[in-house]
Amino acid sequence: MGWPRGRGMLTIVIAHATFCTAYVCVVVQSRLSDFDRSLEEAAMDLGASPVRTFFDITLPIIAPALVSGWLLGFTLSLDDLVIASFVSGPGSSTLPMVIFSKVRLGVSPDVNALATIIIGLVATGVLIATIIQLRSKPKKAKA
Amino acid sequence: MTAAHSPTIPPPRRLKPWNAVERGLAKVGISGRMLVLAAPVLWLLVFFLIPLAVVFGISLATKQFGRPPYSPLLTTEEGTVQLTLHLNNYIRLFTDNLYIAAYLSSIRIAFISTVITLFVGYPMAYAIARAPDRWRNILLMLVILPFFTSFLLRVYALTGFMRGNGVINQFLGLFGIEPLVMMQTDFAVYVGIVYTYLPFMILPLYTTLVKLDVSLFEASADLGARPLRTFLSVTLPLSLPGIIAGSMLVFIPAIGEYVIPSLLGGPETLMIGRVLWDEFFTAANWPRAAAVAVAMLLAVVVPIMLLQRAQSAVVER
Repeated sequence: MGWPRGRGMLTIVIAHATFCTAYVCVVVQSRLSDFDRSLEEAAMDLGASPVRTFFDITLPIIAPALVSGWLLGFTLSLDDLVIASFVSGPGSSTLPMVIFSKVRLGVSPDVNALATIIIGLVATGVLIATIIQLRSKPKKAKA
Repeated sequence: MTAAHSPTIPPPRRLKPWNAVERGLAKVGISGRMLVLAAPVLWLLVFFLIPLAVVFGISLATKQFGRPPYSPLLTTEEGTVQLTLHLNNYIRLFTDNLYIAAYLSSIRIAFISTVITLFVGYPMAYAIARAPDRWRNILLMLVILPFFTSFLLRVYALTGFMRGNGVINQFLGLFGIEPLVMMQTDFAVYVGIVYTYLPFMILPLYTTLVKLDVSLFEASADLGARPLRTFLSVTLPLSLPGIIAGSMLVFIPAIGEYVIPSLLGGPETLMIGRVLWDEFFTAANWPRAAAVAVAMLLAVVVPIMLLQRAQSAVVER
């Protein structure tokens, strides 16, 4: 079989999607397990088709779990070294692969610079998220 | 039917085209549920089960030079198909001391790390669960925060901490203490595993501890039990599900850990993940690496399945 043609981006995406499925599944399943089935039944009783019920009732309710599942999958894929190393080919190195090959030879200042940038970006992002959360809370309490 | 329906209630509306498709498929014996499930089932079949079968197949071949670097299982010779299975990869796993030592050493390192993680994580989870409400979310976020930065960079940061002229040894040097050798020892591997897997221990422990009824502790204290006694006979047994869940989340990935032993450990730190990596990438012995992978999968999956079966049996009772 000639597909996929050699290892590269596509094979990394397929492998990461496959192993992230398990994590997303656990997150979404925990949301679905304490989800009130009578809401779906009510929608069907009111004449909605199964497809309509899914898009109007089920999907909005599990949306937070889908978002956190997506975030989890995103960070796992971004962080993965081992699986990417096995399924990637020449010319398609992910960031962890580049970092690892530099780091295993000893201390390298450019990795330190990269780490500083990443931690700076993450810290700013989390700080902004926290401020937004703190600002929006008092408004909700008033309403 | 028409008389009973008042005109204010519209008849059930359905998406017409879907309806026709559904009825058509139902005739062939395919329900909508099967259609929805077909996508993930097909994906997992093509990209998980078949590759797993291929790995198992390669483990029964022998190494050879060329592409692919293993012997074919099926050969056609003068019109007859011949199936050649080599079991020597598996036999080597049991006769070569390297593999047995690597498996035992992986289990030992993972077990000790899990115990240390439990002892470090339990007080932290307990403190978060008993913290005032407005502190709790901030503390939980501090536990999760490291996840947002790269795992690899965090392990790398530990080398700067523990190496010969690193932060710890410079601090000890101020008091005239000889520099300690920490890098490239098993100690560094334990520190790395405990540090990176700590959130996986804290979060399940926190969720069980936060649900515990405070009045139980008060009742125990009222009945004259001292704090230690209350902890041992009330808190600890009630938090057992969290302890088991957290320990599994640390122990299982720690067995197959590759990055931490190769960055922090020394050449004598033997772990099965490293052996597999070296067989595949350095020795290019795909069949041997596949056999190691299959054995590791069986060694980890079978005990977990037995444990889960035991757990569900307890729940049913």
